[in-house]
Amino acid sequence: MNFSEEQVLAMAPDDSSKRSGKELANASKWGLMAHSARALWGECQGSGKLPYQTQVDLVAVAFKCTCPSRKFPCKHGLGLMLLYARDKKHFVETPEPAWVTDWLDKRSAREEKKSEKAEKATKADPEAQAKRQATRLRRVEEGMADLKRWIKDIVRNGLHALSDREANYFETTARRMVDAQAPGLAAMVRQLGEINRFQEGWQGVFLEQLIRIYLVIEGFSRLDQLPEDLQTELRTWVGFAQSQEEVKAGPNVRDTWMVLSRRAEQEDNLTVERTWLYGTTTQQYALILQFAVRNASPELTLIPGTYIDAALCYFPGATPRRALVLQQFGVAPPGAINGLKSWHQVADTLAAVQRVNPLVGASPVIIDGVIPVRDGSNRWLLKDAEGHGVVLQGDTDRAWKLMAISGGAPLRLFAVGRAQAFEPLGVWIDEHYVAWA
Amino acid sequence: MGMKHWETIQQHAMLGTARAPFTIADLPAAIAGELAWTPLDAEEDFLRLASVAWQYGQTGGLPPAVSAVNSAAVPEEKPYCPLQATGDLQSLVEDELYTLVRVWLQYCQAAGQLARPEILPALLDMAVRRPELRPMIMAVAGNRGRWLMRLNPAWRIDPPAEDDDTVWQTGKPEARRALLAGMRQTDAARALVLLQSTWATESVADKVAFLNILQTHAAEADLPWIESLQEKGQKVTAAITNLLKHIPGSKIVAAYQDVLRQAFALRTGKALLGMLNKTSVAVEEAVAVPAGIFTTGIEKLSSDKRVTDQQYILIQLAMAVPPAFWQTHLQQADARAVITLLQKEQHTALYLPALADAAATFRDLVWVRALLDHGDEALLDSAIVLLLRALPVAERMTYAARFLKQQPQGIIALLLEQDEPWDLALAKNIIAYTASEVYTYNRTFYRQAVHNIPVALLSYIDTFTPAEEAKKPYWRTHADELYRLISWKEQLQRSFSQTN
Repeated sequence: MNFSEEQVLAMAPDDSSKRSGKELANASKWGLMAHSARALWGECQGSGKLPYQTQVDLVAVAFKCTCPSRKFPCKHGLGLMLLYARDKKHFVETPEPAWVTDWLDKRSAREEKKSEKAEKATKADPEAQAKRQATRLRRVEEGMADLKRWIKDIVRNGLHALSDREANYFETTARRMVDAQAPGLAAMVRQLGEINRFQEGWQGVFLEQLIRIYLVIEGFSRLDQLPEDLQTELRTWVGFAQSQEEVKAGPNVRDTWMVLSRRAEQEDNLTVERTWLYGTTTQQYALILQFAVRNASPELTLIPGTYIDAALCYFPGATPRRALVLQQFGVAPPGAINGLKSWHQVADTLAAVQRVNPLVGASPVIIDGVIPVRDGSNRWLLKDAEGHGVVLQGDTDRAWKLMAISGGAPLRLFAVGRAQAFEPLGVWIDEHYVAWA
Repeated sequence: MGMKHWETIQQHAMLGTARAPFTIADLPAAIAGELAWTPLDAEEDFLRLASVAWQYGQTGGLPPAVSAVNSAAVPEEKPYCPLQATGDLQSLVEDELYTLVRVWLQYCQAAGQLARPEILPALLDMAVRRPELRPMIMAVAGNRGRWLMRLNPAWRIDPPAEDDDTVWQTGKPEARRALLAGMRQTDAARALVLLQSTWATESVADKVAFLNILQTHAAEADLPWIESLQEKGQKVTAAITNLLKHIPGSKIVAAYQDVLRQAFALRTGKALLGMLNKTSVAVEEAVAVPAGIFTTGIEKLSSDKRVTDQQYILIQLAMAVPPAFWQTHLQQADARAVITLLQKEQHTALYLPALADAAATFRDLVWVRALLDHGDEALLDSAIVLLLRALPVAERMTYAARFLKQQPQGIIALLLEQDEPWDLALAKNIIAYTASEVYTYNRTFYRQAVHNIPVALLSYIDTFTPAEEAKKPYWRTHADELYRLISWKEQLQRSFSQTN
């Protein structure tokens, strides 16, 4: 499999790792460099007596190193893979030594165990579960009634009155929702409180979030009248978690998935990594969420611009997007990408989504033939072949980068957004794909 | 639903339903007409109507038509650089390895290729911040780059004016100086005419700067005009004098020569029982110096205890006289004979560095070579660097290798200034020295020097380890950096040799 240096560097957890990784992408630093069909390994002299043993799983990309670094991947892993990306000649093809085989075998054993566990999960005690669920449902409904009163209070007094509220106005309500066993609603209330009320246009954002909460409450009170998928969707919003085991025990979709973008964000002490995939045969998008305590290793390393042959399980819902990787079979040759041809088509597609799921958030879209332009008020737009344009979200630097790549010619983009504003997360330059973190 | 209705809803939300109730009548008919509506309380009504309106806005609207006209960049004539080279440049910019960015730009230009569009924003940012890289960046930015510069005010660097006259008449000081300097190199006479055309209206600072530029290729032809200048200001007068000192036929140089002629005389005596002629140079240090000489920047007092005030005055005069003067005055066959003669005795040897200075000032390459070949290295001392600087690059490197041991720091600093790479032998000599001076030559030095160091040095890095234990750890760090930098250079060569 060929990785570009850019793709390898995109895996670095931070800039200093990137730099150190590059410094170690230096054949003189390595005593041993070798590879097999499924892995890459090397020995790097560190400050200790024994050299560090670094290895990379090339099938489902993963790193392991004997160095004490807590970063993931560590600089040795990055350096080794960068060298490989740069010049494979440095690496001799030999049978795997025991320390490589052991790790790879353990990894695949763990994969199998996981699927077994998934099967077992379905055999839990249904009766006790139903009883627990009934109690919880009652609590949730009580909590929701309080939440509705709280919302109506905001509406009655007006958003301008929020500035008079005490600092813990939102947090108190969020805690009430936690007590009511509705962590999803608690999170929605916290998000409401986190909206920056000094930023221009905050009223619209606030109102949208308020409406979402209202829709969840109203929808949940009519759950039995709604289609099953939407019921699941609403239950998820309220906070009835679907266990990963359950999801993995459900149906799976095997396809050649293109990795479109990967973005990590720090949320408190948690690193949340969002990776968008696109199934080249199914033409479905999938969002892989990975959570890791600061600097811990995410389970999967998905590299934007690459294609993987994998089976995915979607979390059920009205518009299934979030998914889990059930099994990765290896990297795959590039598959076909079909983009939508105009914003009109995008609007139609998203309207169809919105119709079945009024709560749907920003949507992923691959669109062909758009040109970045600036209107009279210097606002950046993405104009399609029919002359319609949506607002280009994101920073100005990125807009200029798109402008440079376009040169006034149409582009194929991967963007996430809704209605009339989209943020480009990747762009095709000829056959080459560049994603932004 | 238009934005307007959503705004109205937001206004109601701000005020609160207690003061500004929102009813179905406030919704556009397109939405209201679709609803089977039973009013509840004011808050619930607002939330229901706002929800519907928001959903409608999410699904019902088509993106508006955009009237903005998009311009398009002119297609390129040259090919783009390989993809790998683009990735390299990205990395170099991120790591702020600007010397290597310069190498990258040189390779790209030499390959007749252009930077790929995706890297242009980073390059144009750099062109704004680093004027010295601008010409190289412009050369690889292509039509796309120029198009972007027109569109983005942040990238708007003064475009080079179409013709010289426009630059001279309306350009910024730096642009005018660059123009004059360039013209002086290619057509010295035209540069003079250009300067004459606007002389009267120039500021003091510009006059001084221009006169300094004229020092390059200063010649007899410049004399009539320069000697005719009547300037009142001290700064300009000093610059004029300084320039005249660079022209062998000027009155100033003639006056200096007169004094030197009186002070230095060839003596021939008999030696070895009258069988051999003994030639030497007698110096009359107390020669009378016309007062006017001291208005031309000649100092009266020596600051060096080993040199008398009289000697110091003569040294200064010798520095400003073409070295060929000595050959004629002392009746010697060539430069070598003069050098040998002066070096023979201590009281004349002290003028040798002044001759080196003069050889460099008047770019007399015959004398420069003669001094380097036959001059006493200890006498010449730091003047060696001046002599090397006067030589063409290839020759300079040959001599530099010879003199590196005498003047390592000065010569290394000089060799860093050149664009051309050092040959392997020279580079090995230099790094062998810098490796032993671990405190002076650190990572910053290697980052700058990588521009000149040939890739072939890569396999020799380990041979430079200094003998002293205390220096080894420092060298290890520097060697790692050097290895990384040269590997980068090797990588760039490889990248540019790839086909797309």
